[in-house]
Amino acid sequence: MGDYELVSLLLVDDEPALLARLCRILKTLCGEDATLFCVESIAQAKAAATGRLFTMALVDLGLPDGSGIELIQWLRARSEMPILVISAWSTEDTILDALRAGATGYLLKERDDDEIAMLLRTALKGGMPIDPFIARRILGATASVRSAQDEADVSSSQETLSKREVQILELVAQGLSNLEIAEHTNLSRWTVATHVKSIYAKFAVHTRTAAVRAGRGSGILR
Amino acid sequence: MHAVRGDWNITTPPREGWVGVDLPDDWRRRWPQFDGVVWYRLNWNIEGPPEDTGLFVDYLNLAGTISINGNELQRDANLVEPLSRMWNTPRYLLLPASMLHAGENEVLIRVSGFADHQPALGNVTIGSPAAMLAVWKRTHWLRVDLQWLNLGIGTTLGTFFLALWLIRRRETAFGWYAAQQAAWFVFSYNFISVSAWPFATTDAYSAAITASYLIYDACSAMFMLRIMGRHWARTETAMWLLTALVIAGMLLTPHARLGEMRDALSLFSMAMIIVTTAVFLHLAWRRNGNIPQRVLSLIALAVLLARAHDFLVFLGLIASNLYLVTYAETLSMVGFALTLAWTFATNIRRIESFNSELTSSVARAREELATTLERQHELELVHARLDERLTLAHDLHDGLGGILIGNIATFEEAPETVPTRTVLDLLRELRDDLRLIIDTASSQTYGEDSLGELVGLLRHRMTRLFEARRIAIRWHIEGIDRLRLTSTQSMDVLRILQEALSNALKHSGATGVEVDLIHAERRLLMEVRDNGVGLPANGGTPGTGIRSMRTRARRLGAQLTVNADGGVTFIRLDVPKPASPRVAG
Repeated sequence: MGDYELVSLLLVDDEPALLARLCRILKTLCGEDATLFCVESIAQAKAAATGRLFTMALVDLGLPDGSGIELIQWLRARSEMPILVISAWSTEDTILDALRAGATGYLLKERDDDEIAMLLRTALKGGMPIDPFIARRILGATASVRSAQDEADVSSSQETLSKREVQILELVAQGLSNLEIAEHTNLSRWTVATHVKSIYAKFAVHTRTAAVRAGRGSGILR
Repeated sequence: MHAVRGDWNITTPPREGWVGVDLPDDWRRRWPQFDGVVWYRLNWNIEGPPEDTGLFVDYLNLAGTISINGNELQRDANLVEPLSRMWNTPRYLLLPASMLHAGENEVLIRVSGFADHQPALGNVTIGSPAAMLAVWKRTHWLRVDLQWLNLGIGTTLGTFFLALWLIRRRETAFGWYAAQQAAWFVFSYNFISVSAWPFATTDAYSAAITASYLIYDACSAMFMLRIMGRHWARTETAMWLLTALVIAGMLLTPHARLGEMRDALSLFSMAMIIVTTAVFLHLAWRRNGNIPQRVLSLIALAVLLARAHDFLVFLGLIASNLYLVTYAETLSMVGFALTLAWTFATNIRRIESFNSELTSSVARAREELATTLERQHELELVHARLDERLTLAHDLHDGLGGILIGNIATFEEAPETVPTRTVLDLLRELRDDLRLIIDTASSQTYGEDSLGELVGLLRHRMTRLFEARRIAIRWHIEGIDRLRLTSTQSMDVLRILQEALSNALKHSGATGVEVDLIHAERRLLMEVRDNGVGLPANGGTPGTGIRSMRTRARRLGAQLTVNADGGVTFIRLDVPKPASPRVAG
């Protein structure tokens, strides 16, 4: 198709069949010129990513030499590129952990090719897919943060969601798509997408700050 | 010693009529029924020059004057009615040497009294002033000062127990004790009062004292019964009626018969106290009385003996003016206070041990409760987990199991070679079912179990797919936010919806799809409409999709309508009375 120029992608998965399937879908999406780095372990991924910039990374969670979460953190510390988690039947908890580690989305192996293709297209455009269940968990997490902040009378715009963001999350939770949300809120699709990105950032920032605090508390960081 | 009678207002003794008497002298023995004045004359010789001399008069009943050699040394306040009441007052007089002379000297004592009130003169002693004063002091202390003390103690105890009873009405024994002390106060006052106040006559005063005595007896009996925990309603009523009758009779008795009446009353009172004490002793010693009750009964016995003694004194059978009852009564008050203190201490000890028992049993109960609750909680957890597993197993059985069995049957009937596409369709169907099971289970983990919450994930995913294919999709969702179905029912509804949407997406070629999911008036209505070419014709027989939808609809007790005759294609599911396993809201 050639919609995306100079695309280079990092695929980390130890399952050859799935790797082949993803390669096929990605080639269809990005054209034959796209550079695909397919690796099977964290060590290989780190080696490939050292000194190289990728347009996007796709990371499986169960890797032979460790958890994909660790790799996502490592990659996130070096780049702002989109990182998608590849998950099979996985529970919400694993996906949320990955999002906290810095992933910007997830794809489920079980989905049909066209569904996966749609998701990858959105991600390559810089969009952040967000699911009802994620919206609900973020709402739940920030609600408790908000009440804690109300008590302490500390307002941090960095960590709290705006009213508009909460409204969008609530609509997502009901199952509305970005398009429907745009109609519902009289915003453009792109504005909605921007809000979603901001929601992710805040969620990740919040969790990262919490991690730093926890690290200080346990004496690892000074 | 000589005595002579005179009338009330006489100021000098008559010359005639003197008779010799011995002291102590109750003039009734000589002059019964005589009310008025009696003069007593005592003559004695002094050898040599006179010295200061002391005179001690044990008592005179009721009022009088004392003169020495014609000089009046002492005169009581009222020598006519209402007479001063000096019957219990010992007297000491200093006879100055100047009033005495060598040879014969004369002491003249004028006594006003009533035949009905023991008119008498006690012993008169002459000696050195120091010796006489010592005798007077001892007597005064014994007869007057001790009475004050007795009155003070009695009043204090009475007030204390009255307060106790007022605060704690159940302790009727305390109330009766207070009543007894009140009666006792009136009676004891007789020993220290020196006038008939507030009464106008000696008779009225005396009647009041006697009544108080009788009431005291009745109160004592009540107190005894209550302290023994007895309520003898009929006996008590009879006793009070009798007491009231006796008092009324006393008040109606004419003056002339008052003496006899009072003697009779003394007997009555004596009988009362004997009966009361006997019953007390019987109840305390023969009917398992506790230690305080027994001690109190012994005190009552002591009081009885003292009263018996006094009774004999009163009747003149014992020559004495010393009434023991007040001392016995003081003793009984102290004894009573001691027994109450003992009871109090015992109760406190019991409360203390009860408290420690209570504390330990509360702690034990709390521990047991904690253990029970913990066990219960564990059980509930286990049950919840089991329930979850059961639900999951059920979902797998109904969903995946049904499809598997259905398809195995299909393949068994099918020709040898099954097209890959059919197999793929089957596997995808299984996959979608599994996805729904997983989503439903994980939503329920977070307590999101209303159909509104469960449909969100499906709606989101399907909408994105439709949008990717540029097919307009409109959702009309109403009233399912609070509709809770069993998880199997939810799965069936969602699965039918998913199947209908997949059909519209993949086979219809439609450009617009509308979804209704409405819960109103106790029915759930689901409809998927599209403007496409209709359902794929599979040689007249419905595809596996339609077939599994029908199976599920049947399980739901719902009606499934499929219209594929061109124009508008719709699949409608009508679920009457969708069960709500939990109360919504």
